[in-house]
Amino acid sequence: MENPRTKALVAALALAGGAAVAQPPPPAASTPLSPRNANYSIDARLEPATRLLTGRQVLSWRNLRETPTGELRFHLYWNAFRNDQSTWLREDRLRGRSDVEDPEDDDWGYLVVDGIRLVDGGPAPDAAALPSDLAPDRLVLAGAELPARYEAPDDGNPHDRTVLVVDLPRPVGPGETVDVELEWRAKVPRTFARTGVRGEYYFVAHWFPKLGVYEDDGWSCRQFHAATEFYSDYGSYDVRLTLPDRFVVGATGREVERAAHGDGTTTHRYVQDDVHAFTWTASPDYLVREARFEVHGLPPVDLRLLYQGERAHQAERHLDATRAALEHYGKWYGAYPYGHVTIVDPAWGSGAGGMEYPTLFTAGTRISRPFGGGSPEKVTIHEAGHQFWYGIVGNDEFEHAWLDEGLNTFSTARAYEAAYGESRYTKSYLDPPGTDLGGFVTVLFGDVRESRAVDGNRWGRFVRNRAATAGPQSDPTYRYFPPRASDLSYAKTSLWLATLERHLGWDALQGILSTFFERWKFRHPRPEDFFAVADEVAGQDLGWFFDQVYGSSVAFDYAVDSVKSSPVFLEGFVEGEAGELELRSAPKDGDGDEDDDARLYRTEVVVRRHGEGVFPLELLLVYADGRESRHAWDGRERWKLFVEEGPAKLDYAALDPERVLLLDLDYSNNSLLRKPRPDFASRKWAAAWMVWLQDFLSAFTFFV
Amino acid sequence: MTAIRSIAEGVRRVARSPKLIAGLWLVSVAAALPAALVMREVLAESIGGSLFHASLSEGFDDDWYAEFEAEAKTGLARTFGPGVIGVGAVYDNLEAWWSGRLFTDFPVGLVSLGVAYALLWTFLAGGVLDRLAGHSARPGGLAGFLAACGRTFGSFLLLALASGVAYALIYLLGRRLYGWIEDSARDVTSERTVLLRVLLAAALVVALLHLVRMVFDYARIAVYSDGVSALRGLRRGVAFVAARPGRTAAVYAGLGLVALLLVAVYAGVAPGAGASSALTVVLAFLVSQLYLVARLAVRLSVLGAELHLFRSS
Repeated sequence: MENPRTKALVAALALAGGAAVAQPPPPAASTPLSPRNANYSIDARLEPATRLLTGRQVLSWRNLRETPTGELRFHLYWNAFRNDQSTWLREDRLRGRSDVEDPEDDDWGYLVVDGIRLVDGGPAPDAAALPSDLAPDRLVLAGAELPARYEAPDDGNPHDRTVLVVDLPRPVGPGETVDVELEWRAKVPRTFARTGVRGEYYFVAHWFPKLGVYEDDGWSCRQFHAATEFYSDYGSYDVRLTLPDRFVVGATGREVERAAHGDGTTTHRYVQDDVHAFTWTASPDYLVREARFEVHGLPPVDLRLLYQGERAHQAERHLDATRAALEHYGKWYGAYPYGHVTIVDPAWGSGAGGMEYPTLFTAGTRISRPFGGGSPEKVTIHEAGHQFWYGIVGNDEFEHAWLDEGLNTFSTARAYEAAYGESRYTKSYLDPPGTDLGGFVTVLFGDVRESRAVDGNRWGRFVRNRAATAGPQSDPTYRYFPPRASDLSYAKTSLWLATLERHLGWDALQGILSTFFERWKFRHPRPEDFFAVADEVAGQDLGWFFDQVYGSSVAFDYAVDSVKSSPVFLEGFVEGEAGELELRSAPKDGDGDEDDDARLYRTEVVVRRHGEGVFPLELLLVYADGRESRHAWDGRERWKLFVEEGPAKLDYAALDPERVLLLDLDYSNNSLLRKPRPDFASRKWAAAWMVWLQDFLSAFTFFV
Repeated sequence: MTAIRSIAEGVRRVARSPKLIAGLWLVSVAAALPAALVMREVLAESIGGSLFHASLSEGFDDDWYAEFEAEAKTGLARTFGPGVIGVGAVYDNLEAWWSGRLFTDFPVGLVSLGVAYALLWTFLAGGVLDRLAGHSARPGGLAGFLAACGRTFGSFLLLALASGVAYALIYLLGRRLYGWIEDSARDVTSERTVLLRVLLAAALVVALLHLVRMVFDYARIAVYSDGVSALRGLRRGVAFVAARPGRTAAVYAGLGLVALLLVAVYAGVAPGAGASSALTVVLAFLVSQLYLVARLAVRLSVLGAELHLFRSS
């Protein structure tokens, strides 16, 4: 580890009595929805010329736990973009997803705390408790009221500065409150991921020293990881942002005050209670459209859309999709309580799209996105949906990202389908080679429908990336292999929730989710809390299911292995139609069409379990005369033989015919016709492909 | 007027050469059929005895495709997708052509087939020109056609190699331009601005591709008509275009517009995924083949018009 002493910024602070000192948060006026134990009052100023952001904040934190703590732990998220050895960038290189592939000097960012001290009202400083012999890895902050140091609790990376530990002179006991004032400065990074600047477009998230969450077993304050997001306590935010007049601003909460200073700058004051983060955005190019969500039985919500002029034709689509999310999530899970939400259509190339923050989220689209193709509607619903799963139910995204991402992916697919039906396949063209610019023109294939179950729940990615065996979901999310993390958090959860929906019925699953929502809103649930609610509401122990899909990495793959229908003959003397005795012998070929006149057939179907995962399934047998029979199978054995006798031959057997088990990695082998007939379909599509190939070959003739 | 007359003459010459069009169309069918049969096997194996056969017979089943795509092991299988449906096939290949991905983003086997197909066309070009020139004095039939092919093949092959270098340089220039556009757009927040730059760069690349193609068309015509070497033919081709930029461009662009119109018409009538009976599948296939024949006719009309312009100048 570098010696932070040499890097420490030691500008002395005159924190006491200064006119510019941030004030502690005012008493909240509204009825608390949350514990409000982490309240922030922030003054911040942006200098676009230097991309520097300076701030002072007062944090008022109340210890909700039964144990005292002698330290505070802060996230300094922007230090993930401080240099190329941060844990975030190390992990992101494994994913290859950063928006900045080859950073230039001005692209790096940082967040430095210049001063920190206790404010009156907190535990009285105990000078004797201050360490006199500071260890080399301790950062003595300006003002020297509180010693602090960087830590890397997750991987010990000495270059990672995303966690700052501040020692308190005296422990904060249960129920006690400590007020801490911090002075900090930050360089806004180029957008490596979701937050930063491009041109004059600012999207500023996770930008100030943010307290971790003190839990029964200590602080949860993880380093910033590439595949994980955030975790914080709820509180009230009172934020004053000063920046040039020309900027249009959007932020968490409502703007309650705007003061032009006459020097070309304006201060925007935003206030919001009962949230666990504060995010803002500014750009001279934003256009604003306001609307309202009003649906019977749900509280109204003011919608504020910040959009790009070149995509004005999609403005209403953003608003409609937000309404769809508020309506369906509101009816299914619980009402959106804040009364307002800001939708951001981020600038092209900003890298800020598709991200959620309390009462504000970013969608993401391009100029050419034909209606029906799912964009921008799906991403808008998804991020609006995070207001419920993440915003209102505030799980730990470092440890259990699936609790919000998975629940929300499932809900997004469901809400999209409810609002718009099935989406259609799209493909983008005019994609310059050798660049990441992507296709500028998107074409909708109107007769290629995408299903909610498979596309919406990301089955293709789940299978293609072999996510089923990528590790158990119960591992902490920040320990997931970064390239597979989203498959585990988003796709796997969504698929097993859809499986539960089909297994238990939507009413039962909706009961589970709404109960979980109601019980854990404005709190921090853990996986076991979800499973407990599921057991309780379903009225059964679902441990057998969760142990597999959450607690292990077993793969599911069931198959119909073979089908056979043979005529059943009584050999020897049997009574004929007229009652006379006749001698009959069994035909030599037992399954040919030549014995279609047989009266009775024995059908034998062998089903197999190829994967380790076990799930109860239904076997459907459909006969040539249209007759059907259904058989339950607990799915435990490695194979099972089903035998039936009847007046017709089997047409086909289908295991899990309603495709309840969406985690099955190979559904093609779940059905088997007695006489396979792939010819028509394969010829049809080979013919279509042949036309493509002829056209492909003719493209080569251009050159000669 | 000369350009319009040349275009009309080109179309007329193609119209009176139905056997030529039919022959070249059969060549394209013969070139694509073996791979299509392999693809049929691949698809049949994936569908197997499953119930997906029913949904795929009625339309396109995206659930099946998710599985097929996830399990696609061969390069050939990876070229199959909903993008090949109807006019999507044309868009796909246009995209691959203008971007140069035709040579970089497809399985080696298919690219090799494409190169071999281009070589075959290089061979056939002499016969095609001979037919379009309408030489009644020469022996007709396949033998005469092949003889004309053989007379020019060596020179045309050299021209093909030379043009290949030119095309490669143009694509490299394109890559540079697109990369520069991306770099210069680091702080641009308007997609429209970047789109405009990309369109300008792409238009330049496409114009250069067509210019080279046009010059080499006239080079081949010079080799065929004047019996000169490839090098002399190239010189004459360059000189011809340089001396008559308006007329040569008008002939080329005029029929280029017809080709674009053809794509637009095909976009309107191209079969979708819904063919569900043998009759509708055959009809869909025929409509697509009709489009390919029409495009072939336009392609030959360009050659016919250029031949007329060259000889009448």
